[in-house]
Amino acid sequence: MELSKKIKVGILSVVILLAAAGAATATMHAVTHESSFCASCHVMQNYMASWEHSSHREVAGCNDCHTDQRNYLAKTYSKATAGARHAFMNVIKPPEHLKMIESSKEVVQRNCLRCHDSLVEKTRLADQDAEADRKFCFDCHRSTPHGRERPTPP
Amino acid sequence: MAKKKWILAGWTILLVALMVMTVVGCGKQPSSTLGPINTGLAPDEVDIQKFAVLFPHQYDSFMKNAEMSTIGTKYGGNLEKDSHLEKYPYLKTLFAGYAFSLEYNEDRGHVYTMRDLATVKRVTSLPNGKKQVGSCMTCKSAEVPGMIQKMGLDYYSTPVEEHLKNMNHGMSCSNCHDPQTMKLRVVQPAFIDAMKRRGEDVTKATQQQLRTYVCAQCHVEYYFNPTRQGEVTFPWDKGFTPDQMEQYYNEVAATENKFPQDWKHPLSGAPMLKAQHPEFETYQGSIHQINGVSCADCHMPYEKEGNQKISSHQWTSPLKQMQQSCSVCHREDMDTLRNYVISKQDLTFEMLNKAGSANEVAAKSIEKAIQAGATDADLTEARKLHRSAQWHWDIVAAENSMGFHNTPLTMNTLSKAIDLANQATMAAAKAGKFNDIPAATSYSDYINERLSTKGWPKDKGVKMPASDMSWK
Repeated sequence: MELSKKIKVGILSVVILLAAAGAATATMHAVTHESSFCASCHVMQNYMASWEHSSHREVAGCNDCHTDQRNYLAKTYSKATAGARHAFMNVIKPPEHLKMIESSKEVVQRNCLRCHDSLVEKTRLADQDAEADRKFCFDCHRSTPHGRERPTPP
Repeated sequence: MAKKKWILAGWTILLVALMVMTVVGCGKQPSSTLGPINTGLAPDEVDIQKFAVLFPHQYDSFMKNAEMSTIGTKYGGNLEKDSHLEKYPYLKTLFAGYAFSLEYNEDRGHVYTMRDLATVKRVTSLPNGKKQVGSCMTCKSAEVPGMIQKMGLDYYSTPVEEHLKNMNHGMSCSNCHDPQTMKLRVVQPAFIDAMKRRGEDVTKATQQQLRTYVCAQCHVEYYFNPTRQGEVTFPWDKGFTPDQMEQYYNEVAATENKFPQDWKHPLSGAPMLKAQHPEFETYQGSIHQINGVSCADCHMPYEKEGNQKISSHQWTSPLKQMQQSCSVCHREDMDTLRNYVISKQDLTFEMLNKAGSANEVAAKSIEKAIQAGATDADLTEARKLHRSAQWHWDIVAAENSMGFHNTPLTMNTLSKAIDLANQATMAAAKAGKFNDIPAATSYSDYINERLSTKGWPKDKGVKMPASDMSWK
């Protein structure tokens, strides 16, 4: 094969691969973007039910708070890793109560501020961001939006 | 061919650029809360009016500290000259021979610090023309840390009336905030030193720690160190509990720092300790503290000003603002929660008064033993017990929360106070060889009304217009 042909084949395969990956990613997002998808696992049903009775149901679903919304790549990454972890745990040993892991806390906190940023503009919340004992919104607002379904932080 | 390559390269760059834009460009980034501030003020600015222009909401909130009312709480309140000596009749015996028997009032808002200092009889009317020293006003004005820097230890030994002439400001933003960046910081040398002796560098404290530490600069137990011109010193070297602080007073302050006592009790002859508002120490180990809740979380709840939140700068009992202070975390019905808090305070109040009376009986018993001819040697044990008993009563009596800050510790402390006082009484009776134990003064109407009322009506109490804050 001459060089130009090699390049053409190479480019074509990359494009096909990208297209396939893109289509797969888009399908994954399309399948998982509804909150009802999350509730298809039994362990999530209490969280689904409590959210359905909260004011947040009108404006924000599972993904809006629990996946990284900074950009498409970050969102895909957070969904894929959390999804894989959840699937594993759900098969091996479904927990009775859920607790957020540390990296999830960062994600949720950012998502609180995504909508409620202007509300806390006059506070010094951000001063704590790099500190070990920082307080997240939900450390106090621990009933938002899951009521008593949300376990107290560890 | 070369031309084709360029076209290919161009498309590739475009494609990559498109992908990067898709990935990076989506999603709004939160602009985050208050970023760095530069107020343009001097690093040692203390004048609250200068801050008021820049932070009007916080200033308005701070000025609400002038509100005077006892509505909303069963114990405590915020009134002028609200006399403890009248509410708790046994105090006149417990503090006999000490300045606290001249005038001792319920505390009130931070805006009144200088006026209350300048007018209280403990400062104005000491017997034998004695003058109160600067140590007393260490926490009353934002100017003090700067004065200590300039004057050194002479600040503490200079009379209050001398200082009052030279000072113009009470509490202000700079007590807790860096005037240039408005970041929280601590400035009280006594606090910084005491924490250093405990191995903690508070200049490196986190924001959440500082939300407690700024309060702990003043809302703590202290004494005036005689070896250092009366420098305000916190007794924390051995720990924060009443027992650990007492051990420090007995083993370190009494020897190394030549501080054997606050005063000698004229009835019992015991070397007494006076406790002062140990809110920070009492809070240690409580359920809220171990869950990472700071002073500010309850006492400076976020309140909405228009569509934005600011932290309240009106420091008062959260019972007056439970919706803001408690309900964020606790979703219980607020009346249920209020009754629960008050029931804890009721339990404390009952035992506090029993401990106070037991101490009064102890002091009178030792006096009786002296009159019956007991010698100093006979009374050594009784006096030691009286000192310890009254310390354990006072560390609760002087604390502002009627036990709420740490109810189990408070109950433990009061139990010890009663036990020690009864032991002191028995030791005195043995030394004086008598068995008709003197009686305690009967309770006041204030005490009896509270003991006999379950819960407390929400609207009960008095409300007064804000009073004069001037002190010049």
